[in-house]
Amino acid sequence: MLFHTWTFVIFFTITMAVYLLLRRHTNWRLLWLLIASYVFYGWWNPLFLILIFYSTSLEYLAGLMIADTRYKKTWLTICLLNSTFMLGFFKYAGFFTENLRTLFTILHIPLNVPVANILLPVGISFFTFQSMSYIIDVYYKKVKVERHFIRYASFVAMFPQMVAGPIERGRNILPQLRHAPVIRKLDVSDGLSLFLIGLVKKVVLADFLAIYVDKVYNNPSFYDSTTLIFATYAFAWQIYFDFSGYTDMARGVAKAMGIRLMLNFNNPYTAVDIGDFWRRWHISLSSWFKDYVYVPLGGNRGFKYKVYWNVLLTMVISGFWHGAAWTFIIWGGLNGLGRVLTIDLEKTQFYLKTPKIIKQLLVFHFICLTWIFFRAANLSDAMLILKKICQFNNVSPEIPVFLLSAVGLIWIYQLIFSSKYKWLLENSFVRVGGMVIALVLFLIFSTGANKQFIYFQF
Amino acid sequence: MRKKRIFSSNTFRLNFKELAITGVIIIIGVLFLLPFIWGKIENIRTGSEFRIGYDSRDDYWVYEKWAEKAAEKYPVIFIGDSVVWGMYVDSSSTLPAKINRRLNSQVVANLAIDGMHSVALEGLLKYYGGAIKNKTVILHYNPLWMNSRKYDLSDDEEMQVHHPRLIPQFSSKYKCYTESFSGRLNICRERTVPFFCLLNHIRLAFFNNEDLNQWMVDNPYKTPFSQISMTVDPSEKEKKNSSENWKQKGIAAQEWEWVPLDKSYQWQAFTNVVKLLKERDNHICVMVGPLNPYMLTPASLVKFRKIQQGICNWLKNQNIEYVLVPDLPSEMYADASHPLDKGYDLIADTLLQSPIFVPYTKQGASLCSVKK
Repeated sequence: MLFHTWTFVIFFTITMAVYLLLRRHTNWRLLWLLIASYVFYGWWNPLFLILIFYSTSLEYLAGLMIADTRYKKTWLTICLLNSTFMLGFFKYAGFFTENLRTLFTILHIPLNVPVANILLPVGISFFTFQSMSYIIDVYYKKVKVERHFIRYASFVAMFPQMVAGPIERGRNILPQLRHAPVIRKLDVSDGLSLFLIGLVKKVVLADFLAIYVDKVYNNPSFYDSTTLIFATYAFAWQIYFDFSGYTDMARGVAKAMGIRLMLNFNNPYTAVDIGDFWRRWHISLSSWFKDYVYVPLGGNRGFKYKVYWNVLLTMVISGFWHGAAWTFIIWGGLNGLGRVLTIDLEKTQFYLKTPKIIKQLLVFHFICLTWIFFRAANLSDAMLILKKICQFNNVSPEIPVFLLSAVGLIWIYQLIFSSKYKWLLENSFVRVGGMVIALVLFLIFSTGANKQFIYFQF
Repeated sequence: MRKKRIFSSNTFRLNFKELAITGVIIIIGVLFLLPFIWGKIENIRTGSEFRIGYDSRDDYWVYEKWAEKAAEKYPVIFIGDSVVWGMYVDSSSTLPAKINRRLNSQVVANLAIDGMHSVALEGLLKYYGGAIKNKTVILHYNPLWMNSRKYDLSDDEEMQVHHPRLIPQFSSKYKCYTESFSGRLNICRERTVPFFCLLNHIRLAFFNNEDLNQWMVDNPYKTPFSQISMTVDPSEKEKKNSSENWKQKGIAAQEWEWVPLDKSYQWQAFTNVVKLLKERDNHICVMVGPLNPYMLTPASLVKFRKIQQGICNWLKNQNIEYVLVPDLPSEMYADASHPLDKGYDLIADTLLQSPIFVPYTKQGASLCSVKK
């Protein structure tokens, strides 16, 4: 079930009505939230429910065992292995078998490895990471163990954020589920504002950019360097609007239900260095990797090259989390490399004195370079795109001027938003006018087919 | 100092009052007022013997506007599918045009659309044909739509339905129609909110039936505004007369199963259309056929005659005037139901000579001369 469909509108209307009726009856409210979440998730494929129920039950049990028994480490290990196995089986089995097959071919080993073709349950990477963080936090006593099964299951499966985040932490959500939600007038208006803008980001901008990006990236050999450059810019904005649009809708829906989800995007294309970018982009995942991978690896402690190694390794793993393909690993590696190479540069007087806009442009272009690997269908396509961009041959560039001008205007809006002139955007007239224009565009563009969110594939 | 909590990534944060103002502007201004003003300003060209062009057959906005104009200018409205619309003839040789020529006056308006089977016609008149209430209507019924369960829409197998946006969206009857739930709701939205009907019109009239975003990608250096004009010509532009009959085309005799009247969805829909027109105080005359009997095997012809008789009996029982189009000479059929130019001449003559039909045309002619 996608947020921008009629199905969801009906689903949410019913869910919300009953949720409000049961607001003061915590157990019934949680049960209803869980049922609604399972309906939402099972809409894709009811078989996925078996997986999530199994995973939830095991983690719930493990949480209790870690808190109450001496076998803390054993249960933590069981749980982490189970999560890793689930991800490995559903998400990476195809990748591993395919690469093993290639390796055997190269080494002339006469072994025919069948390539695993397993249906990837939607959102598995998200809810697995969410439950992993809970178990680790219980182990390190950063969060109180949850003894109420329905509450824990609601936390794992909560429909606004379960399939594509934000990857929430138990310490943020579980306390919110313990009491009757406080739904103020402001929460509803904020929720609606967030949802509407998310809708516009997805339907108007992301899906529009997708048409151009898909056209160029599906046949990169047909296009010249200018077109490929602009298609890469377009993808940078497509993925931002797609994912942040989803997050806005998720946060909007949750907020209207009196649940506060964490911020997941904070104007990432206004970042002034690569570290800053990762503090603004997919914040819930970046902080997850920081807390559960980077810090346990040693974090900022130790000698310089060890820190560099920690950064690089964390980013490579983050790339691999996104998808089972070499392109994602390289994407993660490039981001890590970029971060490592600029850690010291960022501290120099030269960089500190460089105008902010120059730094923002540099970071944006570096990120765009890495997006080539993220979006390309395979490694050879990515290399072809890079090669063609570097050749600077411009035969007949195809740049949808109107579309990219609109994106340009949004960038200017973002730059103003993050500058001292933000007040210009904060009067009622601009807000209402902006929302009206955005909604008119939504109404115009909503007649097309509903496209899936990019991050659902992860 | 406490750090200010970030609301979201560059989002407009509106309070209740602002959201309400936005809602009012969108609902009243955009969804209803804008299409109303557009409709008043836009000039849809409808010359003499106008019919809605093949490319505009899905543009129900144009149909609605043409129905409004026709109801104002013409005393008789002719409704039907491609037989009345004039599949193999140009706009000056269609059945309504031939009747007008014989009467030497613009009496009959061609409000037929290609592919308009009865199930779709019910939707067309219900949602876009309100303007023709109280008018004299010649309603064509083409039994060809009942020749198989597939075209009758009573089959369970999925198929491409003509005019899917006009058929009932939430009826469990039409199992062959498999639009998604969201798609069906979007269609209902188009029928009830004029803005979406206008959007579809703009897409069809100015953007080659492409979604706006797809068009902008396909035409990277054009602005969409330059495409839109306030004068639209939805008439048929390239239709040529064809003289090739069904035998010359090499069409073999057909063994059609025919769906009995009591089981036919198309027939049920047709009776609903009649009921709707009666409720709207329309003066109705039904034209049954034509249908090429030479293309049917003897067994299939027997079944067809039985159905034809059933249709006439029902119309008689309902006290509805009707004309049963007689069998034309074989060479005057272009296919199973479409006549060629000479076939239309014969039908027009028959209609005008028919005692049932004469009062309409006379009334039409007299009304027209009064108006002049």
